[in-house]
Amino acid sequence: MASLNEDTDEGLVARIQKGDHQSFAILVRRHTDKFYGLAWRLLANDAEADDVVQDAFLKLWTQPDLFRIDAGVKFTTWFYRVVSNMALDKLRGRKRWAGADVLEAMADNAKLSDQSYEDKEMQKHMEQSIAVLPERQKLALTLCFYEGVSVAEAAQVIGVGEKAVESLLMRAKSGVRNELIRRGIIGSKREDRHERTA
Amino acid sequence: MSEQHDIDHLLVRRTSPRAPHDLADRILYRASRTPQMTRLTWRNMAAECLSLLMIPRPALAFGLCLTIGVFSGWIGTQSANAEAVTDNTQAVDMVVIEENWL
Repeated sequence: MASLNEDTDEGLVARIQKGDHQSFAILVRRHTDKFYGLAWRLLANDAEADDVVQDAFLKLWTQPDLFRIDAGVKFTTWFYRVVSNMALDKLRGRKRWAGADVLEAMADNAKLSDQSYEDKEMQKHMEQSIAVLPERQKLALTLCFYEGVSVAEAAQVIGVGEKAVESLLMRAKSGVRNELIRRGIIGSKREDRHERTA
Repeated sequence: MSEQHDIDHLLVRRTSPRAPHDLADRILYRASRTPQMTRLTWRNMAAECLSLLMIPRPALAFGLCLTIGVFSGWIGTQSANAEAVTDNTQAVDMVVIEENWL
């Protein structure tokens, strides 16, 4: 058991491909928190993030051959792509039937229990500002800023070049900033300069 | 640069909840009730065909084949004897008929 626990993710997937349930259990316990974090940051909804992570791991269990060990891709890189694709599919489905007001309400319902009122308000505005970002910008921001994934790995997950990831990240940050300015949460640099000169 | 720093500082304040403590258990429970699917490849198909020809208990299969062989051999001998008797009778009948005819 100890040797299995120390095995690499790719080694565990190789065993899963032979039907080893114990290796699957180790992989699930090792990565559930990480991928739940990713799904939640993309969806800002507990139940949907829960569903996405469950479905992604079940897909790995039922179709383990989808991960090609000989392709030389890290398991986490491949699984980031699986989870993010599933989460983005959910987002698209949600947008089909819900308007912006419903999306904002879903962001409001996010777990904010252990925070002060000010932090809760800030978090609410942040969620709403990130929710309006285009899909790829949101994904680049989530992977590179929150998950600490390298630009090269994020490029593999999103399926674009490294320069494009850097550009997506810049535009995402700028988009969030502009949205927060529009909501009056932070002041624009121009206004700040005016205040200082006055 | 300062704008970049400001927005980074704000983004850091965004927290995300931890996964529900029973999420991993629920995933494992669902997986335990779901069979794995194997991808349809030539290698898998060849392995499947080979498995159809494989004898699960060679000793038992050999014993059964031996018994069937001995039994069918014995049945074969019996039927050969019976045929020989019938041929003799027919030959006698032919002679009788021939005598009547003549």
